[in-house]
Amino acid sequence: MRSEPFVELVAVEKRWRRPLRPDGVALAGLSLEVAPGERVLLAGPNGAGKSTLLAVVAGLVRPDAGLVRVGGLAPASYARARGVGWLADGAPFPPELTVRETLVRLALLDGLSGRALRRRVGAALDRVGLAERRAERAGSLSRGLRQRLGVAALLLRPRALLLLDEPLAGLDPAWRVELRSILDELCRSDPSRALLLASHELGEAARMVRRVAVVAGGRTVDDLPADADPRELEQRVLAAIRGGSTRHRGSGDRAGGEEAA
Amino acid sequence: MNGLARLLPRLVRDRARRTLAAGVLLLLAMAPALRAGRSAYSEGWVDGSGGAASAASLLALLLVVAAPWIGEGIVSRPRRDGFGALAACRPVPRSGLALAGWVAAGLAVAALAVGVAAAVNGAWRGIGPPLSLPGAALAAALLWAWAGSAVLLLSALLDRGEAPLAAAAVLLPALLATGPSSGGPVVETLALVPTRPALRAARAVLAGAPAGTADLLPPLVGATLLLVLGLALAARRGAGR
Repeated sequence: MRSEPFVELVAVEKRWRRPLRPDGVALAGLSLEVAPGERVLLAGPNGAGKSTLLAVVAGLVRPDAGLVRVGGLAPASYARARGVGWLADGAPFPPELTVRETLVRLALLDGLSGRALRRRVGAALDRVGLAERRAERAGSLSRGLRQRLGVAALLLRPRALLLLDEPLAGLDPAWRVELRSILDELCRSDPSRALLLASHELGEAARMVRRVAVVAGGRTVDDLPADADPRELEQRVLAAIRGGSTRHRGSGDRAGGEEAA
Repeated sequence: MNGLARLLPRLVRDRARRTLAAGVLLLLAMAPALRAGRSAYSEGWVDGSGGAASAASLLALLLVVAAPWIGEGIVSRPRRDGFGALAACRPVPRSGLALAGWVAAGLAVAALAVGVAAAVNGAWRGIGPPLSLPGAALAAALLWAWAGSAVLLLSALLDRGEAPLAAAAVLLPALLATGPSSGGPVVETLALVPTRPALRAARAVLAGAPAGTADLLPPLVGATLLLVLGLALAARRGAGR
């Protein structure tokens, strides 16, 4: 018997209003289900709607139409009740705060305090190799180091749902492997933990997941197992994108909403 | 909410630099008036209480200008730098970070008012009655409630530049309404903006007198409306999308 989906999106639509220009369509009737404990990669071209989809699931963006449920709740209600692990594209952080201060503030919002807070912050800094840089300002970090800071923020109090937007961007090869190991540990420590990540690095990202949902033109156009041969997987994703794009052009929609976001 | 309460001292500390700079600027702005009052008193033209009243008026007016600058970015800054989205994904109310920022900036403005009032009292020693220090904190709280709620609302609407807009929005109507009464319906409408009663109440408490209910109610009602609207908008837009 199939388990209840943890994340459920049905015919979700989102348009970005742009002054003096036609609306940008980010999501055009997208549907997707993610079961508890499932790890899903969102693959697709720029402007396909991947970042918007993650933001909708996090409750940061309200869709214009369609149904979105996370753990049976509206996404914002779920985030408020249980919290969501969120790593935004580019891992933006307040530039004037130090690495440690950034984590301390997030840990406070996670409900940690006192010794537990210090221990978790210290452990997270150690795990992502930023302990030596704890006094540096986030604004002075390279993109790869900011990504590691973002991963440290996920480790403070790991949530049942992790949403990662381009987590591999800027990471060197050693830290790409390390990120995979960290995500494996997180998912092993709680088998019901679901992971949804968007990435253009198909080969590396596919090794972190079980499923690849191909998104193009604001819709899921294919759903593939991630354990296929990497070359074959790449071909199938490209074929799905081409097919999806053809259908997309035929429907008269416009992509590009992701940039508008 | 506990996490937000624990975050509060850090949010106050974030505004320390602006608060100190505002303190220096306020004292510089008040220095000529204090000097003039001191020399007029020594020549027997005014008594000390008149000088203290004019210092209270000037301080209240300057606080209305400084407060929006200190509180700038309550919602817009976390939205720009990504902290708003990170906070929104944690189990705290969506408008909680904005409310904590509003309270933190209010505490910073209160500290500024008490510090400047203490400095004025030092300069004014021996001439007339001092400004009330608890009154300075109360005056700052009242002026912040009004001007700070305008900043919060504008910060939820705009990405930048809310401080000058908020200062203009709360001060210009009050200044225009002091002009000739033949200003027509526009000026009469602007006169409804409750900055003048807020300034009167602030002056009174700075001088150590109780503020009248008629002066307290309009700014407090206006502040509550703006705050509720601002927090609702912050909950929708504070996460950055």
